[in-house]
Amino acid sequence: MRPLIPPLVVLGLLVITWQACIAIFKIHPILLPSPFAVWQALWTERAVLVRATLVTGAAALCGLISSILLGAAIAVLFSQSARLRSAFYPYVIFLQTVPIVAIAPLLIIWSGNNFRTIVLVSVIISIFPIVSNTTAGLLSINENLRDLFRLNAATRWQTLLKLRIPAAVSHLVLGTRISCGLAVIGAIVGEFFVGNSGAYDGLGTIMTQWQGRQYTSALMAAVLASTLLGVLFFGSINLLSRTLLRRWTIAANLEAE
Amino acid sequence: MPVIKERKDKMAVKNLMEHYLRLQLSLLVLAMVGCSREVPSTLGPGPSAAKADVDKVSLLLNWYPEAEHGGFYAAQVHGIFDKYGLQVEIKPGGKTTVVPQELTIGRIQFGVGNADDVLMAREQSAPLVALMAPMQIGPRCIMVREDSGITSFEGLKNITLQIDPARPYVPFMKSKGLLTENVKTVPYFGTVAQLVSDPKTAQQAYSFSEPLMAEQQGVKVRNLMMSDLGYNPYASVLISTEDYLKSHSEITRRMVAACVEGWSKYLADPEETNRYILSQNRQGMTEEALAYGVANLKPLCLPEGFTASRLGDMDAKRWETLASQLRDLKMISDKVKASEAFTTAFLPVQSQ
Repeated sequence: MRPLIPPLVVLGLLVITWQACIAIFKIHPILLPSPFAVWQALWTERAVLVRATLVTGAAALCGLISSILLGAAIAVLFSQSARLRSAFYPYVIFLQTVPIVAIAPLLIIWSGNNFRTIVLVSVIISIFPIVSNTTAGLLSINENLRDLFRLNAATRWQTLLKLRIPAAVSHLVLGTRISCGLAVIGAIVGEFFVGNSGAYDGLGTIMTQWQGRQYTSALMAAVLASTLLGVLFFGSINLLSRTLLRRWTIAANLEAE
Repeated sequence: MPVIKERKDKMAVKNLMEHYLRLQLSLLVLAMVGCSREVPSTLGPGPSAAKADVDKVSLLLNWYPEAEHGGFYAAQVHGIFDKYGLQVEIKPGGKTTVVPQELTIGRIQFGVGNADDVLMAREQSAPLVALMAPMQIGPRCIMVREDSGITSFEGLKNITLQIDPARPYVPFMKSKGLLTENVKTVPYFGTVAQLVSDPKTAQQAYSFSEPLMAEQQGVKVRNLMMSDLGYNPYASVLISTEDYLKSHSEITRRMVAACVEGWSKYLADPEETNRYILSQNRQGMTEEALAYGVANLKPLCLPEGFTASRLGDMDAKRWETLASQLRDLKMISDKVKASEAFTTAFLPVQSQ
């Protein structure tokens, strides 16, 4: 329980400052609701929020997994040829800088108002850190180990499987940590544009609705739900890297200790 | 196309921060200057800025400058605001404009919005009050293609409906048992492209705006008026806050009178105003669209049996109906009283 204390103290201070600002500056609740009003909205709208978080979480998870698979595959290709890398890397940076808001209506025309398009937006936003980090990991291997592989006449395939990929796992985890928040943002932005045509609305859709109703306290509650979703993703990645991937991710885990 | 109000949550948070910082700043300025007069907003384009007894106010639109704001612009263009001793800065709105919040914080004195916005803001304890309503019949409709064969709301089946999920008429239609049979509701972005390319698409529209856009693309369309379904909030309503009405009732009286006169001028003689709106609109508005807009606005502003002298008037029953509809949809609670959300007290006498 001890590591939980510092963040909880920060939370407490934050809530107190928030409430104090409202009292001192007499801020109207339509502009900034009190922490209590947000808590109330969280409780009143809990059923809608839980469903929305699940809907958005599913899209973000699909987006993140696609990003990991696709991003890692691209990184492996990049690690195999400097020419390939120099030819395609600029276009991967495109994904990082593409103004998603501008192309979302186009994506809808190409792919339709459906779950797939939301996942697509999530992938576009979240794939770059994975490609970038994993490529770096695959390339930055220990010189001595590489010489050892050469001395033993290891094939390119053996070097990749036994040296490069194990070395890159911790980089992949670091990239995924950055991407997991982006995947959630991507899914929410996707929902702003695509909407949820299924039975339930996602967080992006209900945020739009509540904003239209000037229901600011519920809007903040939805923002809170989306940040919690991001934290949940982040925590799961950390857990994975500390358990299943422990062998390869000692370096990545040091940061938290 | 005064329709999409989808905004990014990031923008909302940014706006909040901005509001908050500005609030602190303005409190500081107020404390230093000891200023008790109404805060002069910004320098507006008024020819009589030199006159000393002119009151400066600002009016924030809820969308890009279009025909639905014509009367307000006409009051500017034809010097009607000047005549009433007002210097009005008309601020164009857009996708991220939040009129209720701007009014609540007092950064603007008047705003334009729809009647349902006023009631929903009052649900959130923002004391907005509607002052005049140029349109008696709401322009909101669902636009379908003629070749879809759909002629009624009941016929909305097996289609994709582009619609703003934030507006109350979506749940209203669902509460009437509509949109249940294989209707996919998706957000709308202010372009008729999808309707033009796909006969299985229907979309929200303002009856005096989007139909022309579709017809210019060679698609014949049909409008299903939301007012026929019973959902008919006043649109393009002039709004202020309870505090402002109390502290500046004289200015409010002149503002309302000038706006009514502006609307009456616009419906009679829109050309000059439309040219001005065109110069203010950067969203691809055309002269033709504005002319079409004003021609189709007339029957909404002055329907049959409605005397021209009552232009801008509001009916208490209409407000009650709207409030009870929103109450049924659980979008407002009992604490919101329709009678407090509007007043006709500031309208020129002949219309009472």
